[in-house]
Amino acid sequence: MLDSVLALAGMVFKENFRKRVIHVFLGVAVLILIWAATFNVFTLGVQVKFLKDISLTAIRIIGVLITLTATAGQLSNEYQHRTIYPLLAKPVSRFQILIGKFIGAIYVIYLNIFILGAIFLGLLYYRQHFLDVMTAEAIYLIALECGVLAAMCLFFSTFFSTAANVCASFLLYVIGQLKFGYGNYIAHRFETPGVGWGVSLIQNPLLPPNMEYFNIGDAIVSGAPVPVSFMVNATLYGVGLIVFYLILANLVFLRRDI
Amino acid sequence: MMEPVIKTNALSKTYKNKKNNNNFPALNQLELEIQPGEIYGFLGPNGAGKTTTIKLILGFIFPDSGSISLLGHPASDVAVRKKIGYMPEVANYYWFLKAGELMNAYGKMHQLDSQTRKERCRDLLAKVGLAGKENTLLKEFSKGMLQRFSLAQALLNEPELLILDEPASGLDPVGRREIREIILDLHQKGVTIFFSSHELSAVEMISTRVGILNKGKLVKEGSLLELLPSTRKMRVILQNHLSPEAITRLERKVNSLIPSVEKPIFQATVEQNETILLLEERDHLYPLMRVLEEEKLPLEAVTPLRETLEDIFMKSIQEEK
Repeated sequence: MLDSVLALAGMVFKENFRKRVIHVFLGVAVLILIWAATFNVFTLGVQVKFLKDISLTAIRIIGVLITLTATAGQLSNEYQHRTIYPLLAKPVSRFQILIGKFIGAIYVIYLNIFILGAIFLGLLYYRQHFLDVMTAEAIYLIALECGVLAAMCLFFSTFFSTAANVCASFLLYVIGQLKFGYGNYIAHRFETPGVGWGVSLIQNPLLPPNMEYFNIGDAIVSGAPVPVSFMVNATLYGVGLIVFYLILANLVFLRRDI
Repeated sequence: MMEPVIKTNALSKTYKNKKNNNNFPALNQLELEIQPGEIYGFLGPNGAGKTTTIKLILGFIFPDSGSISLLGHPASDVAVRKKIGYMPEVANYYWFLKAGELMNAYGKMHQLDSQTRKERCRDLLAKVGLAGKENTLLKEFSKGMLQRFSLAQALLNEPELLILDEPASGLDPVGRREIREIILDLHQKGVTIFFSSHELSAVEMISTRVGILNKGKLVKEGSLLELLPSTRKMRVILQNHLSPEAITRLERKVNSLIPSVEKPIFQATVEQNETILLLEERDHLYPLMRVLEEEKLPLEAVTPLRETLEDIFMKSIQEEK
């Protein structure tokens, strides 16, 4: 069973890694990191904050773009181009296909985030002269956030077209980033039952996922401590969401006529 | 009797269009039994349900009712696909993968060891005329090359049952001939082959049994001998354009050799550069040949005048209408 899953993951990885658009995203992110590290206008303290702020934002945005590129068409493109048929005719279950697709996409996403994270931490080390573990934690949470987005995207990919999936996933990602901060503001600003009900509906923990939870950029930039318990909770929440979306994806994919 | 390789029981499938609430019944109580070692040609006009049947057999879609067994197992059993090869109608593969990489990945799914994967990949690509293309990206393959690759990947696991959906589509005449030869070679090795096709001549050439599907129902099924019974009628084509007088003379001479027959033994049709003689009785061919030799009339061809698979196919479709 594992062999089939890994074979499929390998296919997804190789196919995605040869797509020029991912190389472009990676190149743009690297340029932003280098630019932020060499932008010598501020004093050293401010310079480091600027580097962290810009770099974490760049890694997050590029991570999201790579995630959407690598995952949004995983199944919809297979349906559209009919590449799914020879695959389904092999002795692999639909669940294995789904897991293989997810692992392959995650492999691409995490490799890119790892490369960007390593470059960023290296540049930070060059500036600060010590290894910044808290910043590494922020990168870890970006990776977890991308994992959640990838699982959600894969779920949508079971029934949406690629374009619809990119739009829906990105919209839900943005809502997930804003749903508590701006959601509470909107509920407070427009004190009507309808708005309050709508905001509380959006603020459920599953759809859209609470992406704000994985964003500790502000704390890192300002130097505020991030407790271990928070990291554990974020990990459990992220992994839980990934499992939740993969189960939903399996339920849809398992009974779908293709 | 051996267990059928494919067996469907009252298989039905209706496609539901949610937008306009129209339902399209694609298959209606289909009963199929494919025996081991057969080459079964599955025919039907567009929309008859051929691809739907293949999709149901392979578990791409689910039946509304009925059941399917493959090699004695339920079709839903994933493990049975280790013994099945499938070549889809549209040969589309992952553009950014190399031919060898995809063969290798498919081989892993079939749980073949590394050495076997390597050898079979090389041998099968060579067999379908793609020798040395292991490291070529699939996006660089032409339509015909993809079709050939499609057949190679279907044979990777040395299947007991090979399902081919329009195997010759997109191939030039050389490619079609090569595919036919590969199919016949596999048949010699005992592989059961189930294939759908529009190309009736190819089906007639290689099938041991044929099923004709129309509007989701199997309207005719049988071996080629059953469907195309032998005939007594013969067609004789002469190179010359014969005048009516020459035809009358010919009739008279032939009839004089067969005293038991009073009426003319053939009907003649004269075309621009040839004359076609239609004989009702094969035995009358020999006296006719003797006269033709005497008259020094050059012969173009002599063929039995039997129905072709195309005739049977058209008749079956018309009857249903």
